[in-house]
Amino acid sequence: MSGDRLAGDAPAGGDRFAGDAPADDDRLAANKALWDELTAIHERSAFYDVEGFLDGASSLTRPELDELGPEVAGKRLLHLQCHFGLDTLSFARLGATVTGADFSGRAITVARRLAAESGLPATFVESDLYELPAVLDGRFDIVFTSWGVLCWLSDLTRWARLIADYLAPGGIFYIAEFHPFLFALTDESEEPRLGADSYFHNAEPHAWHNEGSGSYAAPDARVAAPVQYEWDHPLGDIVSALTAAGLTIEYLHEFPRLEARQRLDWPCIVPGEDGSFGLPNLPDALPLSFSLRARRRN
Amino acid sequence: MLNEFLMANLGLWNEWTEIHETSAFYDLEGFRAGHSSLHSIERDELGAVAGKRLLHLQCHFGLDTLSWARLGATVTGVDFSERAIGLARSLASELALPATFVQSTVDELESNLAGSFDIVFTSYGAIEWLADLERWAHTIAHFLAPGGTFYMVELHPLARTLDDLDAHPELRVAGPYFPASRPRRLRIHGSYADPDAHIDHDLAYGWSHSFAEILNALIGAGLRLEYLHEFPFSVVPFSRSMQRAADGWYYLPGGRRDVPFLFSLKATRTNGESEGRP
Repeated sequence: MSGDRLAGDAPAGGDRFAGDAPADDDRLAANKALWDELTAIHERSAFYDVEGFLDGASSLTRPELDELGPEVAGKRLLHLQCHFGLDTLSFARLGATVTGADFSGRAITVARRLAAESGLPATFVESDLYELPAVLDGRFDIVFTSWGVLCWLSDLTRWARLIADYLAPGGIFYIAEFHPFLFALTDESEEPRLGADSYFHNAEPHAWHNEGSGSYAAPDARVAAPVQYEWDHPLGDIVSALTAAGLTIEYLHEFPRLEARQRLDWPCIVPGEDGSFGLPNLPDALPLSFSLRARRRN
Repeated sequence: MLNEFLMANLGLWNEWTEIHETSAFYDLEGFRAGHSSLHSIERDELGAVAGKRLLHLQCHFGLDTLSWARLGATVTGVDFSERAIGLARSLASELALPATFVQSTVDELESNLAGSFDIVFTSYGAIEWLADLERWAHTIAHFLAPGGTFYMVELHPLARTLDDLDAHPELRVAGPYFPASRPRRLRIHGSYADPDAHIDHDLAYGWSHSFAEILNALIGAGLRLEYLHEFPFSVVPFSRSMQRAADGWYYLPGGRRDVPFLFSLKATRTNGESEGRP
């Protein structure tokens, strides 16, 4: 899990910047500072359960475990936006030759330490996503990314091209993510309502100002990073960026519930008896997550 | 053979045809005078159709079909309503536009039409009347020539989850989004083209279709997806408070543009070349 909007409290002040918009580098630096800080919190969180992982538990959730897990053995797998590498290393345990990339230096340091502690072979690369080709060569059979990654990206066209460039001919791209429809829901209501001034992409990101918020993984923690920047990416943009980069979509799956590990604090999304999250009384009203598989043509 | 759901829907569409023929919404006088009934999305995205064989599924009484003919396509329109097909044929003949119109459900089209097409087209409020999108997608693939294009522009599945906007202007999501085996019973008031029209056939049945269902049906039938586009405005008002702007599209009050009301999708029937699957 690479994370999401800070949780615990609803994000405050999500206005897009109008006037003095910060430069892209400043936004990247703000998000990086946030994720460095979150890494330190998440490393010790019950949510990420590093101890359980070191004892052999997989951090992967459904659908990726069912849909991608069975075919990774012996494959070269690149994990984009890998946070501190638990999923990357879980794929290594399933027999993949793994490389994880993340923009947070602290996350990569923790990932390398966990690889050493668990004795799992893995390569971890610290890099902003768009700069990755400057520091990582090679072709991969699988490019993987999941859970709370797209909102940190300013440009899906470049993202998709990068994926296509890293894929060997015939290689597959797989993503499991929160559904873009979720971000069309307002965070002000306990019943699901659209009209959140989001969904469609805007070059100007949302600027979420953290006012003592916690993390999705540790609601009681207090995050000091003052602001984070997030971009909306509607479903059509995701699909069309990938097809334009030369990938063939093999399927799109949509799911009405989020697993406990796919936690997202939205007032209209509440835990059920089994710990998974959904819209109460509206079991089939909306998809809350999706997975998509695409293949680079030969 | 039509089941009870399609029988009910057929009664409605026959009645709607009669109402729509004289409606301002469909503006038959304007069409006779040369106006196109097509909207900018499909005109811009489908591009040059001249000389192409175009199959229009669920064509109602054929205004769009005939508008494509005016742009030079060789057109075939299909609809399950005999009254709609009757009107379409009489318009084609009155306006001397070459066109073939076939009365058939989508499901039974392979038995009722021969030939292959460069373009299969469908639009605005069509697929909600179909129970089975796998069958639909296979029909599309069947009629597409290798390399041919399928293009659709439709009501967005997210907007279709909205509760009645007249009663709930707060944009409440009610669903359902996911497909179900049983259709939804729809109590019909008037028509999208004439909300105040009196309707005898006021009970109809519709099916919800998710993006996953739509995409996977087309992919499963052998089509390669080219793009999926989404638009923050509608072709018909979802509520009485949606206003038609100068560009012809309907917007939510205040002109807000954060709800997708339409999508378009283009897919290609591949020539049978390897898609990379080993």
